[in-house]
Amino acid sequence: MLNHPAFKYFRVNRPGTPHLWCPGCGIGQVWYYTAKAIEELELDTNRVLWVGGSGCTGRMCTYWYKDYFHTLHGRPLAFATGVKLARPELTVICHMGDGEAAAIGGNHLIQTARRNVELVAICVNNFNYGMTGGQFSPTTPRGAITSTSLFGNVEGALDLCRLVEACGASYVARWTTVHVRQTIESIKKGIRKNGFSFIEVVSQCPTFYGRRNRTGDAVEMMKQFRNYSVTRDRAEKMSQDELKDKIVVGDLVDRENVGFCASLHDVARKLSGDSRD
Amino acid sequence: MTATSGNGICLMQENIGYAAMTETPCVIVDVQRAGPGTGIATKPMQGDFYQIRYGSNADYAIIALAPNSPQEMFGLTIEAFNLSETFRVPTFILADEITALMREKVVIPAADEIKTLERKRPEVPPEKFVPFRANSDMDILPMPAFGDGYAYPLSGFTRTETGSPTVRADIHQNLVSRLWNKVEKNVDSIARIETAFLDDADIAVLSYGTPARSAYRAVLNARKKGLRAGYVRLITLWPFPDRLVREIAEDVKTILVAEMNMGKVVREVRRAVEGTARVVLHSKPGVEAHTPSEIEQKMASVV
Repeated sequence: MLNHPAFKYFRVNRPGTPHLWCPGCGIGQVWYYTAKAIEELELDTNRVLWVGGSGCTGRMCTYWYKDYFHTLHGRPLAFATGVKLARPELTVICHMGDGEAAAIGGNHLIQTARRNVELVAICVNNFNYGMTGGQFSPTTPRGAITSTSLFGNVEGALDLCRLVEACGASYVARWTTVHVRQTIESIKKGIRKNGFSFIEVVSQCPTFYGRRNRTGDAVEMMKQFRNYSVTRDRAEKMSQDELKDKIVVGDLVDRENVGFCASLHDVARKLSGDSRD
Repeated sequence: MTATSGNGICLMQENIGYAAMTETPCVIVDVQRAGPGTGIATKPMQGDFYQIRYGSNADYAIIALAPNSPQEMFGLTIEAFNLSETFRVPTFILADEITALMREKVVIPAADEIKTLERKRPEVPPEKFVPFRANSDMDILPMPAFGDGYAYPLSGFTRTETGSPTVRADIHQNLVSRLWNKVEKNVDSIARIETAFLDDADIAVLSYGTPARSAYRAVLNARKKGLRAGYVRLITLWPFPDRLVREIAEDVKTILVAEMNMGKVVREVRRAVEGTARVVLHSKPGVEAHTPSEIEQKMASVV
């Protein structure tokens, strides 16, 4: 732990240190990918705010060694939007689990993407609510076993990336915890983007989702992520049948749409009679 | 600052508790409407007196001010910001539909005549900053802004001095007590009421917001007819001005509480006066305010 390259960014000397995540959980990996992206961009960490809400992923921000904003379940994007408006010079990174982003926070996600707020939202999608005992979430695949779908999930899964794309986000990408370098590069790209950046990272929850669905341990789950992943380019040549159970990874959207803070501050400047750029 | 009415205040409760726990200054205007539920969304009521005080989970304190004119909508909003910044608590403007939509002359002073207060900021460099170290059970802590280099760990969790989540009973009890005390123990510096004709009064009409306008007229009319009536208007609703109300009760026989609901402020008045005066409710549960003659008749019947 002490020699881990993420350690210098980690809050220590607190109860619950090193951290509260289960052995094999993918959240620690995403934590490191985020810190690594910040490091490689050589950002002033005093100007980087981590935001989170509830659940296992919601806790990620509380280990960031600089400013963090640990908010309400489902609503970190709303709080993050407020901070970004007040302090547009900050880099604001928001981590959410699939339950938070897709269920209670679903509308916040839609509106933040539609406004194209200059934030980075990273969704750690492990297909269930881990902290509360592994209940199904809006991203749980049909038929999967969870603590609230013991006979198979009767609901279909929501594709968050396609939702966010339809809402107008500037940048959308999906990777899995196996894609180390790609995820780091995507977070870097998201931070540099002048608009809403949404990065879904498919992650393993061996304690609940993996155990109930007999997928094996964390390493086995990651092997499956690797085997089931297809790049966007390859996926475009595949039929719907062939794409069943596949995880489409890569940059899914990368475009220039006007950002929310930029357009709001533009109007404010015009109203105050300041014609400077 | 945000503004809402009707069911909107229900939806905000989770965030109000979060603001109280994180000690984030904010001003919330609640224009009370007829409910419950959607009720009559275009008509007044005074139903939210307890909801703004106790609506989120567990224990905390807030400040609430009650305007009864457009001029006060302006002036008390400035005061609400100053109180919110000073005490780092959610502060409410609790109005009702009549006052909120009223048209009257408003005098807006020059900007340099308006006194504004801001929250305390850290006075030490970041390396010496301990974000949640309280020096007393009613201390108000300095609050840095994100990006100022103070590594501010802001969370709705019960936290240690350094901001770590904790489940320790003593830390939690001290925190909740402080969130409560910093407002409730400062009641004398926060709470304001308006009074008239109390010197010789046998009966005092106590109200807030729009009904207070009717009450004032009712008191004037009653006095013309020889009734020794007095007038009390709460400007501060929370923290409740216990001492001020109790002092009035010691000098009158009866306090008539006129409010547009089934009886809310009356419960606080009964608690505050501790039996020193008879407390009678004049209830009118929404849609229209009490008329002066209704209050006058009620006074005559209970005095």
